[in-house]
Amino acid sequence: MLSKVLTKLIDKAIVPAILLLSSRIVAIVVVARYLNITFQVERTGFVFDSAADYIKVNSYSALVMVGILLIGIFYILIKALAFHESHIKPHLTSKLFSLRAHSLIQNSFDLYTQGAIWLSYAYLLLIVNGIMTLSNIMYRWVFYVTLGATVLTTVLFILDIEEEIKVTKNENAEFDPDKKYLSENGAVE
Amino acid sequence: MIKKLFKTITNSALLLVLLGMLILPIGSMGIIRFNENTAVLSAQDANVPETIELTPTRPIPKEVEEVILQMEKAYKESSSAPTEIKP
Repeated sequence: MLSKVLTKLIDKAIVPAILLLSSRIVAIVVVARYLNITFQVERTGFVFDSAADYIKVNSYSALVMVGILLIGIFYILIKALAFHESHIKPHLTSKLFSLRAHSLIQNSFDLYTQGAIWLSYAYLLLIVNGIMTLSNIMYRWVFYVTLGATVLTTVLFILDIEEEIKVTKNENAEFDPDKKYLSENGAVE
Repeated sequence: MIKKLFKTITNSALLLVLLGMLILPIGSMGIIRFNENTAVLSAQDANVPETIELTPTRPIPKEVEEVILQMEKAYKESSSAPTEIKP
């Protein structure tokens, strides 16, 4: 009854959502303390005394978010590029089983739902950082870091998808479409 | 028909939940702001010079106009008078 893809996407979105949200809040407090910046906690959120302090904390906490996002995406990318069920190398499979780390081997459905979620967060963060940079409330270089990270991870995911397509094509070739032999023997007209 | 409608509604609800989960951490970008009321003197502050009204918008009183004309006349006389050259 319920869509399998949507349920899976929601399931895979819980961890990154909590991670990103908590990293933002923790980063704001830690960066402000580290830079000796005073702030008040109000019902609407954190309030800083000056625009300069706000820009500094906003930029560095966004950078922490990008860092957490990169860690998450690279974990998925390693699983997709090296431990993907469809194209994992046999010796690596045996090694993972001997190390009892065979849970790292995942199928395309699992990997691509996780990849879609993490990449969605990357693109949303890129858009928000872009708007903040245009509004002069974030350092320009933070936006460029986000842009670079998003482009790089997207390219790596595309490489994995290309590998998957190649594997699927090879699997299809196993079933010989040539009916010449069958027609010669009268099995097929 | 009812089954199909129920399926569409539940899947729409799931989609909304998913979108909410995607927006939630990105929405946390807006939890900080700065106090705009504090007067901060910095280079970013606007430097607007005071404007001086050159053309009078109100009518000038007669006595003021007379004084100005007298002063103008006195200035013209003093500037056009030959300067004394000491021997």
